[in-house]
Amino acid sequence: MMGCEDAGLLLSRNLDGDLGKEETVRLYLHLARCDDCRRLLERLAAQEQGIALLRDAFERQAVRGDLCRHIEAALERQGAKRHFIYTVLDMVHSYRAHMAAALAGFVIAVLVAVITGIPGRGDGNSSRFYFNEAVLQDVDHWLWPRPVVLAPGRSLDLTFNRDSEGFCHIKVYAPSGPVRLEIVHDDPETIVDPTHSLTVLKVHFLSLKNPRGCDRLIFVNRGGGILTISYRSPEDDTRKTLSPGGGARL
Amino acid sequence: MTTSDFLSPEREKRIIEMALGGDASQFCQLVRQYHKKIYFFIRRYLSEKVVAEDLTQETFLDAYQSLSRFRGEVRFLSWLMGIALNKVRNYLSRAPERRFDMLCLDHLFGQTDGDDPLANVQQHEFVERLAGAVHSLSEELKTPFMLVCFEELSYTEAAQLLNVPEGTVKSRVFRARRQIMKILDKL
Repeated sequence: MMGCEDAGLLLSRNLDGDLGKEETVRLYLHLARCDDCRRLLERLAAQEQGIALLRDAFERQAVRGDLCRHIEAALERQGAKRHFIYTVLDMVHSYRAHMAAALAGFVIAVLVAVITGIPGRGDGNSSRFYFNEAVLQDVDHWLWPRPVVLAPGRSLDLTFNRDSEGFCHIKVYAPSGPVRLEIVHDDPETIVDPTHSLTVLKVHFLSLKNPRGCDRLIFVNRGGGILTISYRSPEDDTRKTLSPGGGARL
Repeated sequence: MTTSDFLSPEREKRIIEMALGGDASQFCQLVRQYHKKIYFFIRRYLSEKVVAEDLTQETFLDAYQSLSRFRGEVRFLSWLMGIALNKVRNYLSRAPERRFDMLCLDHLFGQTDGDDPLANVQQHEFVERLAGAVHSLSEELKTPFMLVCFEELSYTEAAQLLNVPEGTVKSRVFRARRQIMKILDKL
Protein backbone atom coordinates (compact mmCIF):
# COMPACT_ATOMS: atom_id res chain seq x y z
CA MET A 1 0.00 0.00 0.00
CA MET A 2 1.39 3.34 -1.04
CA GLY A 3 1.92 5.99 1.67
CA CYS A 4 1.35 9.74 1.27
CA GLU A 5 5.09 10.46 1.03
CA ASP A 6 5.47 8.13 -1.95
CA ALA A 7 2.30 9.51 -3.49
CA GLY A 8 3.69 13.06 -3.17
CA LEU A 9 6.80 12.07 -5.08
CA LEU A 10 4.68 10.44 -7.79
CA LEU A 11 2.50 13.57 -8.02
CA SER A 12 5.60 15.66 -8.55
CA ARG A 13 6.95 13.27 -11.18
CA ASN A 14 3.53 13.20 -12.83
CA LEU A 15 3.74 16.96 -13.39
CA ASP A 16 6.99 16.36 -15.27
CA GLY A 17 5.52 13.56 -17.37
CA ASP A 18 7.77 10.94 -15.80
CA LEU A 19 5.20 8.32 -14.69
CA GLY A 20 4.71 4.99 -16.38
CA LYS A 21 1.33 3.30 -16.70
CA GLU A 22 1.71 1.13 -13.61
CA GLU A 23 2.83 4.03 -11.39
CA THR A 24 -0.04 6.19 -12.67
CA VAL A 25 -2.56 3.52 -11.72
CA ARG A 26 -1.03 3.17 -8.26
CA LEU A 27 -1.12 6.94 -7.79
CA TYR A 28 -4.76 7.26 -8.83
CA LEU A 29 -5.76 4.40 -6.55
CA HIS A 30 -4.14 6.29 -3.68
CA LEU A 31 -5.75 9.60 -4.66
CA ALA A 32 -9.15 7.93 -4.74
CA ARG A 33 -8.99 7.32 -1.01
CA CYS A 34 -6.74 10.17 0.27
CA ASP A 35 -8.14 13.70 0.65
CA ASP A 36 -4.77 15.18 1.69
CA CYS A 37 -3.05 13.99 -1.46
CA ARG A 38 -5.92 15.29 -3.64
CA ARG A 39 -5.45 18.73 -2.00
CA LEU A 40 -1.71 18.39 -2.61
CA LEU A 41 -2.45 17.64 -6.26
CA GLU A 42 -4.55 20.81 -6.58
CA ARG A 43 -1.88 22.96 -4.95
CA LEU A 44 0.91 21.48 -7.05
CA ALA A 45 -1.15 22.13 -10.18
CA ALA A 46 -1.67 25.79 -9.18
CA GLN A 47 2.00 26.13 -8.42
CA GLU A 48 2.88 24.65 -11.80
CA GLN A 49 0.58 27.14 -13.50
CA GLY A 50 2.34 29.98 -11.64
CA ILE A 51 5.75 28.64 -12.68
CA ALA A 52 4.60 28.58 -16.31
CA LEU A 53 3.46 32.22 -16.03
CA LEU A 54 6.73 33.20 -14.43
CA ARG A 55 8.69 31.42 -17.16
CA ASP A 56 6.66 33.14 -19.87
CA ALA A 57 7.15 36.53 -18.21
CA PHE A 58 10.87 35.92 -18.12
CA GLU A 59 11.04 34.99 -21.74
CA ARG A 60 9.02 38.03 -22.78
CA GLN A 61 11.91 40.19 -21.71
CA ALA A 62 13.70 41.95 -24.49
CA VAL A 63 17.04 40.44 -25.40
CA ARG A 64 19.64 42.87 -26.61
CA GLY A 65 19.19 42.97 -30.36
CA ASP A 66 22.83 42.64 -31.22
CA LEU A 67 23.67 39.93 -28.66
CA CYS A 68 23.70 37.22 -31.29
CA ARG A 69 25.82 39.32 -33.68
CA HIS A 70 28.16 40.13 -30.82
CA ILE A 71 28.70 36.45 -30.03
CA GLU A 72 29.17 35.64 -33.72
CA ALA A 73 31.85 38.31 -34.07
CA ALA A 74 33.70 36.92 -31.04
CA LEU A 75 33.43 33.43 -32.51
CA GLU A 76 34.84 34.54 -35.84
CA ARG A 77 37.86 36.00 -34.07
CA GLN A 78 38.31 32.78 -32.15
CA GLY A 79 37.61 30.72 -35.27
CA ALA A 80 40.60 32.26 -37.05
CA LYS A 81 42.90 31.08 -34.25
CA ARG A 82 41.20 27.71 -34.19
CA HIS A 83 41.55 27.39 -37.98
CA PHE A 84 45.31 27.91 -37.69
CA ILE A 85 45.56 25.24 -34.98
CA TYR A 86 43.52 22.83 -37.09
CA THR A 87 45.69 23.50 -40.14
CA VAL A 88 48.76 22.58 -38.12
CA LEU A 89 47.00 19.50 -36.74
CA ASP A 90 45.98 18.49 -40.28
CA MET A 91 49.60 18.76 -41.40
CA VAL A 92 50.69 16.68 -38.46
CA HIS A 93 47.99 14.17 -39.37
CA SER A 94 49.06 14.06 -43.05
CA TYR A 95 52.73 13.57 -42.29
CA ARG A 96 52.31 11.54 -39.15
CA ALA A 97 54.08 8.49 -40.63
CA HIS A 98 57.14 10.55 -41.62
CA MET A 99 57.17 12.33 -38.30
CA ALA A 100 56.83 9.10 -36.38
CA ALA A 101 59.74 7.58 -38.34
CA ALA A 102 61.89 10.67 -37.74
CA LEU A 103 61.00 10.67 -34.06
CA ALA A 104 61.74 6.95 -33.76
CA GLY A 105 65.11 7.49 -35.50
CA PHE A 106 65.93 10.32 -33.16
CA VAL A 107 64.98 8.31 -30.08
CA ILE A 108 67.10 5.36 -31.27
CA ALA A 109 70.06 7.65 -31.96
CA VAL A 110 69.75 9.18 -28.50
CA LEU A 111 69.52 5.73 -26.91
CA VAL A 112 72.58 4.50 -28.82
CA ALA A 113 74.47 7.62 -27.80
CA VAL A 114 73.51 7.17 -24.16
CA ILE A 115 74.38 3.48 -24.11
CA THR A 116 77.66 3.59 -26.05
CA GLY A 117 78.79 7.12 -25.28
CA ILE A 118 78.64 9.91 -27.82
CA PRO A 119 81.11 8.92 -30.52
CA GLY A 120 83.31 11.79 -31.57
CA ARG A 121 84.81 11.72 -35.02
CA GLY A 122 88.42 10.58 -34.74
CA ASP A 123 87.61 8.97 -31.47
CA GLY A 124 89.15 5.65 -30.48
CA ASN A 125 91.59 4.19 -32.99
CA SER A 126 90.72 6.46 -35.81
CA SER A 127 93.61 8.29 -37.38
CA ARG A 128 91.43 11.22 -38.29
CA PHE A 129 92.08 14.42 -36.42
CA TYR A 130 90.04 17.53 -36.79
CA PHE A 131 88.53 20.43 -35.00
CA ASN A 132 84.93 20.35 -34.05
CA GLU A 133 83.21 21.95 -37.01
CA ALA A 134 80.45 23.53 -34.98
CA VAL A 135 82.93 25.35 -32.82
CA LEU A 136 84.97 26.46 -35.80
CA GLN A 137 81.95 28.06 -37.33
CA ASP A 138 81.70 30.20 -34.25
CA VAL A 139 85.21 31.60 -34.75
CA ASP A 140 84.34 34.65 -36.78
CA HIS A 141 84.35 33.71 -40.45
CA TRP A 142 87.50 31.63 -40.28
CA LEU A 143 86.42 28.19 -41.17
CA TRP A 144 88.30 24.95 -41.19
CA PRO A 145 90.85 24.23 -42.64
CA ARG A 146 92.03 27.85 -42.76
CA PRO A 147 94.16 28.95 -39.83
CA VAL A 148 92.54 31.11 -37.24
CA VAL A 149 93.88 34.61 -36.71
CA LEU A 150 93.80 35.70 -33.13
CA ALA A 151 93.94 39.45 -32.53
CA PRO A 152 95.47 40.86 -29.32
CA GLY A 153 93.23 40.23 -26.35
CA ARG A 154 90.98 37.83 -28.28
CA SER A 155 90.45 34.25 -27.31
CA LEU A 156 89.70 31.13 -29.28
CA ASP A 157 87.62 28.42 -27.76
CA LEU A 158 88.09 25.09 -29.56
CA THR A 159 86.80 21.65 -28.97
CA PHE A 160 88.56 18.83 -30.80
CA ASN A 161 89.02 15.11 -30.87
CA ARG A 162 92.29 13.38 -30.19
CA ASP A 163 94.31 11.46 -32.74
CA SER A 164 95.09 7.78 -32.47
CA GLU A 165 97.92 8.49 -30.07
CA GLY A 166 95.93 10.93 -28.01
CA PHE A 167 97.73 14.04 -29.19
CA CYS A 168 96.63 17.28 -30.71
CA HIS A 169 99.25 18.96 -32.90
CA ILE A 170 98.97 22.68 -33.21
CA LYS A 171 101.20 25.22 -34.90
CA VAL A 172 101.23 28.73 -33.60
CA TYR A 173 102.70 31.52 -35.68
CA ALA A 174 103.34 35.04 -34.54
CA PRO A 175 104.11 37.22 -37.62
CA SER A 176 104.87 40.24 -35.51
CA GLY A 177 106.14 38.16 -32.52
CA PRO A 178 106.97 37.63 -29.83
CA VAL A 179 103.45 37.02 -28.54
CA ARG A 180 102.38 35.49 -25.28
CA LEU A 181 99.86 32.69 -25.64
CA GLU A 182 97.87 31.34 -22.79
CA ILE A 183 96.28 27.96 -23.13
CA VAL A 184 93.49 27.24 -20.73
CA HIS A 185 92.09 23.80 -20.15
CA ASP A 186 89.36 22.69 -17.83
CA ASP A 187 91.71 19.97 -16.60
CA PRO A 188 95.31 21.33 -16.78
CA GLU A 189 96.83 17.92 -16.08
CA THR A 190 95.69 16.59 -19.41
CA ILE A 191 98.02 18.98 -21.22
CA VAL A 192 101.45 17.39 -21.17
CA ASP A 193 103.22 19.77 -23.44
CA PRO A 194 103.58 22.72 -23.42
CA THR A 195 102.99 24.73 -20.30
CA HIS A 196 99.75 26.54 -20.02
CA SER A 197 101.35 29.82 -20.85
CA LEU A 198 104.16 30.36 -23.32
CA THR A 199 105.79 33.06 -25.37
CA VAL A 200 105.66 32.49 -29.09
CA LEU A 201 108.56 33.99 -31.01
CA LYS A 202 108.00 33.09 -34.63
CA VAL A 203 106.66 29.59 -35.06
CA HIS A 204 105.94 27.27 -32.24
CA PHE A 205 104.82 23.73 -32.75
CA LEU A 206 102.71 22.31 -29.98
CA SER A 207 101.74 18.78 -29.23
CA LEU A 208 98.98 18.72 -26.71
CA LYS A 209 98.04 15.52 -25.01
CA ASN A 210 94.37 15.19 -25.34
CA PRO A 211 93.33 11.92 -23.80
CA ARG A 212 89.66 12.52 -23.76
CA GLY A 213 87.35 12.18 -26.67
CA CYS A 214 86.21 15.71 -26.84
CA ASP A 215 88.42 18.18 -25.01
CA ARG A 216 88.08 21.87 -24.92
CA LEU A 217 90.97 24.32 -25.10
CA ILE A 218 90.92 28.07 -24.94
CA PHE A 219 93.77 29.98 -26.55
CA VAL A 220 94.12 33.54 -25.34
CA ASN A 221 96.38 36.00 -27.09
CA ARG A 222 97.88 37.94 -24.16
CA GLY A 223 100.39 39.79 -26.30
CA GLY A 224 100.16 42.89 -28.47
CA GLY A 225 100.60 41.28 -31.90
CA ILE A 226 98.56 39.08 -34.18
CA LEU A 227 98.75 35.36 -33.66
CA THR A 228 97.85 32.70 -36.15
CA ILE A 229 96.89 29.26 -34.98
CA SER A 230 96.71 26.20 -37.11
CA TYR A 231 97.43 22.52 -36.69
CA ARG A 232 98.92 19.52 -38.40
CA SER A 233 96.88 16.63 -39.51
CA PRO A 234 98.13 13.50 -37.75
CA GLU A 235 98.14 11.36 -40.89
CA ASP A 236 100.14 13.98 -42.79
CA ASP A 237 103.78 13.85 -41.82
CA THR A 238 104.77 16.51 -44.29
CA ARG A 239 104.99 19.72 -42.39
CA LYS A 240 103.61 22.39 -44.60
CA THR A 241 104.69 25.94 -44.28
CA LEU A 242 102.24 28.36 -42.87
CA SER A 243 102.30 31.60 -44.73
CA PRO A 244 101.86 34.75 -42.68
CA GLY A 245 98.35 36.10 -42.80
CA GLY A 246 96.84 32.65 -43.00
CA GLY A 247 95.13 30.89 -45.83
CA ALA A 248 97.59 28.03 -46.32
CA ARG A 249 96.41 24.48 -45.99
CA LEU A 250 98.37 22.36 -43.66
CA MET B 1 12.08 31.70 -34.82
CA THR B 2 10.34 30.32 -37.87
CA THR B 3 9.87 26.65 -38.62
CA SER B 4 12.58 26.84 -41.27
CA ASP B 5 15.02 28.05 -38.63
CA PHE B 6 14.45 24.92 -36.56
CA LEU B 7 17.46 22.65 -36.46
CA SER B 8 16.68 18.96 -36.52
CA PRO B 9 19.00 16.74 -34.43
CA GLU B 10 20.59 15.43 -37.66
CA ARG B 11 21.18 18.94 -39.00
CA GLU B 12 22.55 19.98 -35.62
CA LYS B 13 24.98 17.03 -35.69
CA ARG B 14 26.19 17.96 -39.20
CA ILE B 15 26.69 21.56 -38.14
CA ILE B 16 28.75 20.46 -35.14
CA GLU B 17 30.93 18.27 -37.39
CA MET B 18 31.55 21.18 -39.76
CA ALA B 19 32.30 23.52 -36.88
CA LEU B 20 34.77 20.98 -35.54
CA GLY B 21 36.63 21.40 -38.81
CA GLY B 22 37.24 25.01 -37.84
CA ASP B 23 34.28 26.63 -39.60
CA ALA B 24 33.02 29.17 -37.09
CA SER B 25 30.23 30.30 -39.43
CA GLN B 26 28.55 26.90 -39.03
CA PHE B 27 28.65 27.20 -35.29
CA CYS B 28 26.91 30.58 -35.62
CA GLN B 29 23.75 28.72 -36.65
CA LEU B 30 23.76 27.10 -33.24
CA VAL B 31 24.27 30.49 -31.64
CA ARG B 32 21.24 31.88 -33.47
CA GLN B 33 19.21 28.87 -32.38
CA TYR B 34 20.08 28.85 -28.71
CA HIS B 35 21.40 32.23 -27.59
CA LYS B 36 18.06 33.39 -26.15
CA LYS B 37 17.55 30.14 -24.25
CA ILE B 38 21.00 30.41 -22.72
CA TYR B 39 20.57 34.09 -21.99
CA PHE B 40 17.31 33.47 -20.11
CA PHE B 41 18.80 30.47 -18.36
CA ILE B 42 21.62 32.64 -17.03
CA ARG B 43 19.32 35.58 -16.39
CA ARG B 44 17.21 33.53 -14.00
CA TYR B 45 20.20 33.38 -11.67
CA LEU B 46 21.57 36.89 -12.08
CA SER B 47 20.14 40.31 -11.44
CA GLU B 48 22.22 42.16 -14.03
CA LYS B 49 21.47 42.01 -17.72
CA VAL B 50 24.95 43.01 -18.83
CA VAL B 51 26.58 40.24 -16.83
CA ALA B 52 24.07 37.74 -18.23
CA GLU B 53 24.96 38.88 -21.75
CA ASP B 54 28.68 38.52 -21.07
CA LEU B 55 28.24 35.06 -19.59
CA THR B 56 26.08 34.06 -22.56
CA GLN B 57 28.88 35.04 -24.90
CA GLU B 58 31.48 33.24 -22.79
CA THR B 59 29.31 30.13 -22.77
CA PHE B 60 29.27 29.97 -26.57
CA LEU B 61 32.98 30.71 -26.86
CA ASP B 62 33.78 27.94 -24.38
CA ALA B 63 31.41 25.60 -26.17
CA TYR B 64 33.15 26.31 -29.48
CA GLN B 65 36.56 25.73 -27.92
CA SER B 66 35.57 22.44 -26.34
CA LEU B 67 33.24 21.25 -29.07
CA SER B 68 35.33 18.13 -29.62
CA ARG B 69 34.29 17.01 -26.13
CA PHE B 70 30.60 17.04 -27.06
CA ARG B 71 29.75 13.37 -27.58
CA GLY B 72 26.08 13.77 -28.45
CA GLU B 73 24.99 11.76 -25.41
CA VAL B 74 22.78 14.66 -24.33
CA ARG B 75 21.00 17.36 -26.32
CA PHE B 76 23.30 20.14 -27.44
CA LEU B 77 21.16 22.65 -25.54
CA SER B 78 21.51 20.70 -22.33
CA TRP B 79 25.30 20.53 -22.86
CA LEU B 80 25.34 24.32 -23.36
CA MET B 81 23.35 24.74 -20.16
CA GLY B 82 25.98 22.74 -18.29
CA ILE B 83 28.66 25.19 -19.43
CA ALA B 84 26.42 28.15 -18.61
CA LEU B 85 25.65 26.76 -15.16
CA ASN B 86 29.36 26.51 -14.38
CA LYS B 87 29.79 30.10 -15.54
CA VAL B 88 26.97 31.25 -13.29
CA ARG B 89 28.33 29.34 -10.29
CA ASN B 90 31.82 30.75 -10.80
CA TYR B 91 30.44 34.24 -11.14
CA LEU B 92 28.20 34.01 -8.09
CA SER B 93 31.02 32.61 -5.98
CA ARG B 94 32.91 35.84 -6.70
CA ALA B 95 29.93 38.18 -6.54
CA PRO B 96 27.10 36.61 -4.49
CA GLU B 97 25.34 39.99 -4.22
CA ARG B 98 24.54 39.81 -7.95
CA ARG B 99 22.21 36.85 -7.45
CA PHE B 100 18.75 37.27 -8.94
CA ASP B 101 16.35 38.95 -6.53
CA MET B 102 12.75 40.03 -6.28
CA LEU B 103 13.54 43.56 -7.37
CA CYS B 104 13.94 42.27 -10.88
CA LEU B 105 10.31 41.17 -10.98
CA ASP B 106 8.74 44.64 -11.09
CA HIS B 107 10.96 45.47 -13.98
CA LEU B 108 10.13 42.14 -15.54
CA PHE B 109 6.36 42.50 -15.34
CA GLY B 110 6.55 46.13 -16.40
CA GLN B 111 7.84 45.00 -19.76
CA THR B 112 4.97 42.69 -20.62
CA ASP B 113 2.58 43.75 -23.36
CA GLY B 114 -1.20 44.10 -23.57
CA ASP B 115 -1.76 40.35 -23.85
CA ASP B 116 -0.02 39.91 -20.55
CA PRO B 117 -1.46 36.83 -18.82
CA LEU B 118 -0.46 38.46 -15.55
CA ALA B 119 -2.91 41.30 -16.07
CA ASN B 120 -4.99 39.90 -13.30
CA VAL B 121 -3.63 41.55 -10.17
CA GLN B 122 -4.28 38.55 -7.97
CA GLN B 123 -2.43 36.34 -10.34
CA HIS B 124 0.37 38.88 -10.54
CA GLU B 125 0.72 38.82 -6.76
CA PHE B 126 0.74 35.05 -6.67
CA VAL B 127 3.48 34.84 -9.26
CA GLU B 128 5.51 37.43 -7.38
CA ARG B 129 5.22 35.42 -4.18
CA LEU B 130 6.09 32.30 -6.11
CA ALA B 131 9.22 33.95 -7.52
CA GLY B 132 10.21 34.95 -3.99
CA ALA B 133 9.69 31.40 -2.78
CA VAL B 134 11.80 29.94 -5.60
CA HIS B 135 14.48 32.49 -4.88
CA SER B 136 14.63 31.49 -1.21
CA LEU B 137 15.19 27.79 -1.96
CA SER B 138 18.54 26.34 -1.01
CA GLU B 139 20.98 25.89 -3.88
CA GLU B 140 20.70 22.10 -3.54
CA LEU B 141 16.97 22.22 -4.30
CA LYS B 142 16.81 25.29 -6.51
CA THR B 143 19.18 24.17 -9.27
CA PRO B 144 17.45 20.86 -10.11
CA PHE B 145 14.07 22.56 -9.73
CA MET B 146 15.05 25.32 -12.17
CA LEU B 147 16.47 22.85 -14.67
CA VAL B 148 13.37 20.66 -14.67
CA CYS B 149 10.57 23.20 -14.16
CA PHE B 150 11.92 26.29 -15.93
CA GLU B 151 14.32 24.88 -18.51
CA GLU B 152 12.12 21.83 -19.06
CA LEU B 153 15.00 19.39 -19.05
CA SER B 154 14.19 15.75 -18.44
CA TYR B 155 15.24 14.20 -15.14
CA THR B 156 17.92 12.26 -17.03
CA GLU B 157 19.36 15.41 -18.59
CA ALA B 158 19.31 17.31 -15.31
CA ALA B 159 21.00 14.37 -13.54
CA GLN B 160 23.78 14.23 -16.16
CA LEU B 161 24.27 17.97 -15.99
CA LEU B 162 24.46 17.98 -12.20
CA ASN B 163 26.37 14.72 -12.06
CA VAL B 164 23.98 13.17 -9.57
CA PRO B 165 21.74 10.07 -9.83
CA GLU B 166 18.38 10.54 -11.55
CA GLY B 167 16.55 9.51 -8.37
CA THR B 168 18.24 12.35 -6.51
CA VAL B 169 16.93 14.87 -9.04
CA LYS B 170 13.39 13.48 -8.78
CA SER B 171 13.46 13.66 -5.01
CA ARG B 172 15.01 17.16 -4.94
CA VAL B 173 12.44 18.53 -7.36
CA PHE B 174 9.66 17.15 -5.20
CA ARG B 175 11.25 18.57 -2.05
CA ALA B 176 11.61 21.94 -3.77
CA ARG B 177 7.90 21.94 -4.72
CA ARG B 178 6.90 21.08 -1.19
CA GLN B 179 9.26 23.73 0.23
CA ILE B 180 7.75 26.36 -2.09
CA MET B 181 4.29 25.48 -0.82
CA LYS B 182 5.42 25.89 2.79
CA ILE B 183 6.98 29.28 2.02
CA LEU B 184 3.83 30.44 0.20
CA ASP B 185 1.74 29.40 3.20
CA LYS B 186 3.81 31.62 5.47
CA LEU B 187 3.67 34.69 3.22
